[in-house]
Amino acid sequence: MRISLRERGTSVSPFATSPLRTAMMGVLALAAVVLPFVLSSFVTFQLSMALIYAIAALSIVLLTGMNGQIALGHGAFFGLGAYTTAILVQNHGWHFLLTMPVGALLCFVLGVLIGIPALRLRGAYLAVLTLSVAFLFPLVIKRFNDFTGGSSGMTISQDLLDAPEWSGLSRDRFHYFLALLVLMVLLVLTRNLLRGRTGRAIVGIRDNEIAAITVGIHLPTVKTITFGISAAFAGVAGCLYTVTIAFVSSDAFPVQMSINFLIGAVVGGLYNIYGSIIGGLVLEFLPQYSQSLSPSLTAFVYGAALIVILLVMPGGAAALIGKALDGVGRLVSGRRPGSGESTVAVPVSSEPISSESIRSGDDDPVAPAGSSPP
Amino acid sequence: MSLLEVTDLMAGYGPAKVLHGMTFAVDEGEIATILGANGAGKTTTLRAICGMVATSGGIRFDGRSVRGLAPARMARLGVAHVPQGRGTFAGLTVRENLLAGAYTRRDRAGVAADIDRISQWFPRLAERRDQPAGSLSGGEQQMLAVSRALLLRPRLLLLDEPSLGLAPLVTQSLFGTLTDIHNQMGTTMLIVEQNAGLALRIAHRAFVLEAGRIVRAGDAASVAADDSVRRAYLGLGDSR
Amino acid sequence: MTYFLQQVVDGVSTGVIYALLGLAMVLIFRATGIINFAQGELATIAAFFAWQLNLWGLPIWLAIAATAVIGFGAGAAIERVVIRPVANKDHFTLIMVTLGLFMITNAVTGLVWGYTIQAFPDPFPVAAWTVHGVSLSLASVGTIVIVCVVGFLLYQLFHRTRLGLGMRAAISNPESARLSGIDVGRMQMIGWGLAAMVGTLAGALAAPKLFLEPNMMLGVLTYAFAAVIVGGLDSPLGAVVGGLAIGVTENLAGAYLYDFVGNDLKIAVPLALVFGILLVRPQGLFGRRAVARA
Repeated sequence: MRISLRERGTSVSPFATSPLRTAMMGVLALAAVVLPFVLSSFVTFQLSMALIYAIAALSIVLLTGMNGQIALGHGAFFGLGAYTTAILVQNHGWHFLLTMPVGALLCFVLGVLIGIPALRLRGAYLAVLTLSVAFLFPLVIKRFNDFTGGSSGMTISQDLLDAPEWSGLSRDRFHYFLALLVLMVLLVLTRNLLRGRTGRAIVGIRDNEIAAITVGIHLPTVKTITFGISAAFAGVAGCLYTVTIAFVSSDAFPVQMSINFLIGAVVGGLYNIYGSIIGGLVLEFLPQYSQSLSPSLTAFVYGAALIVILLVMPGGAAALIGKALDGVGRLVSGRRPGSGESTVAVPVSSEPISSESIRSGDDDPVAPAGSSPP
Repeated sequence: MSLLEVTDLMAGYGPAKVLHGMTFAVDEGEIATILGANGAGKTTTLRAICGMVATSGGIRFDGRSVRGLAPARMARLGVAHVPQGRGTFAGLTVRENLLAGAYTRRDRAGVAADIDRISQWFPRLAERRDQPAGSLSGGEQQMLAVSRALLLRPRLLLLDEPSLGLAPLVTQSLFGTLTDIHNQMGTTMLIVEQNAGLALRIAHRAFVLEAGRIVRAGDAASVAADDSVRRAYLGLGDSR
Repeated sequence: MTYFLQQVVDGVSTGVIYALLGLAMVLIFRATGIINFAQGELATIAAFFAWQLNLWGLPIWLAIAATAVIGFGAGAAIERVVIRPVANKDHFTLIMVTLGLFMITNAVTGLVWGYTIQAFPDPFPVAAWTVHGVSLSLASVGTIVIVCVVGFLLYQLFHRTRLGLGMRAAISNPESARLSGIDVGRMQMIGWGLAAMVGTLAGALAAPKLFLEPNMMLGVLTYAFAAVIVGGLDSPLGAVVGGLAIGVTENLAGAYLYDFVGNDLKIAVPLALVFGILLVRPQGLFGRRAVARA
């Protein structure tokens, strides 16, 4: 029994369990490879940005969706990664590929450092703390403008960002495939992280901290490391951002960006790592269309979408697609729901079980970090 | 005429039904108790009367149908409820708790007199009137919850497991005070209690609840003498 | 010494704005247990509304008063329509909903009034006194007085009136409040309405100092958060003291640590202090820690 449960738990890819999902995955993969060769270089650039935002959304899915820590400041990590690449490439002549591990490491360290005070905070307090980080980031950039270019920004010479010759690709296509590769690698990493013991610890903390402590999960370690990994993901996305856009400035990383990442994650599906792909697409393409109608429309649509999705479909687009696929799958195979393959793909697409237990900590901002239950 | 008449009451939480057609009545001026094992539906019964869970069937209070009224409406009609465990306002002082209990009343003088009277029943509370309720001991909090409910000047007082978590001596004194209150104010009470022996000692009437239905009803003495009740709820054998 | 006092006074006069927005947050937290991320944006839209009324010919004080009254209704309506349906959801959903409200309010403000910076008429006449070399403007003194009066009235409301008792009981223990005949839903609506009123004042007093534009209050929101965290989320007095402390620290940091922090980063100093306080006393300096026994 236990083994079968774990078996189901490890079949985490919602796309891998049925022929239909495999087929869809195949079509998507094919499209991802072929598209840059048929589309204009501008659209390819837009797709690269969508992939980069998808990585940022993935970092939120991991931290907020899976671990239950609210992240309103990931724009700062994104920005730190972006400046790492910008400064190392432009001022120190590094190859941009080599800057990515550095950006990831810096963000991991900063993430752990912020994750430590975050240990003692929960809910709204954590949201305020992370929001302050997002708020401070552009100010820090402006303060050190000798180094960063401040609000007038810093342009990276295009030739420093060219595709390596061995690739035989144009610059835009290379950047696209680089972002695609990084996203795929991080998705696989996240999937592997979330299956098995570590994943159960991460998700267990989200669902019930006290229960997680009683089964021997070391809360501080798991939470800070998850924070660090999530920050590193956002940082890598930031590195790719600089590579793709070749320009950074303090105004490019406003508070709004952090909120947008969270919205992308919620819209795509906070409880499904593949939802982040949809989140990235929305974050890149929705403003393109709404902005042309009215400058306020994007924020309005984001705000409305946030409220509606949380009320109607907390699992976001991923849950919607999952349901649709199951429906089609049942129609095709004539199977009854619940027989054989289950939609309960634990933990990669599991929604939190007890919201009440989280809410009960209302006026108590202190997480019971190793302390006694009430 | 009975003050509270419950007929064929069904209630539950979502699809899970807890009560499956309860019928009982409590007369004005008496203390009634509902006995039953854990999960029999005692708490749900009280919550159903106060409109805190979805119900079907009939609930009449003072001759008028009150089923489906919101808890605040029930309070205004004179039904007070001491919920299980946490019946106080932790952040408010003892005095503020009492005043909050009298929220619906406009007679300042009457409220002040009632607070004085309650201070005599529960001197501990008078000593701690300016302390936050959250800093009181479990027994004191329970006394405060009862006092808070009494300040409504209720015609019917519902008590949900008043002895829960209290030391035996504290429980004894609480039940003694409940009897005093009844003698002096004539408040009708409906008590749900695990400690059946204690409840039967102060009650006039008793109902035995099993799996959401009343299986035995009668005056407290005869219920207490019933062999099956003695075995199941009083922990006594047939021979004694 | 004079320089120091001048910095403190200037800090206080910015701090009172943080305090006022902080007070609005405390009101909502006390009414519904929610930290309202949209508080700053609601204040901004109210400031625009008052500005518009003034443009249509209403004297500025009358425009602000009218906006405050309308704000009360709007706040109550938001509680009823947006917050009530999610009241029983988890913390995360609540925060996200107020964030959604933040974005919608910001967008609507931009949609109606655009992103051009507008000048908001100063409700106080230009006048200043000099006391021992420290200059005090009428606007600063007036703002401080208003905040003190609002704080005092709120304290009286919560601690001296039946309505205030009902509101406190409703947030402390909604179930027992209902069982005592208190209409908890109504208390929550009133709480949001009052918060919108106070927020209107915050917006109208901040607008002459800042520039009236849809993102005007974003910074103030962050500092107001800091203020209520220092002061304790449930303490109106704490919000005022916290707001003043943030304003003064920010100003002193700008004055004495200029070489190190510069003009852009002076706000980081109070924020850093806030995090320090949060780690030592998570309930804030004035917040009461709920001591609930099982």
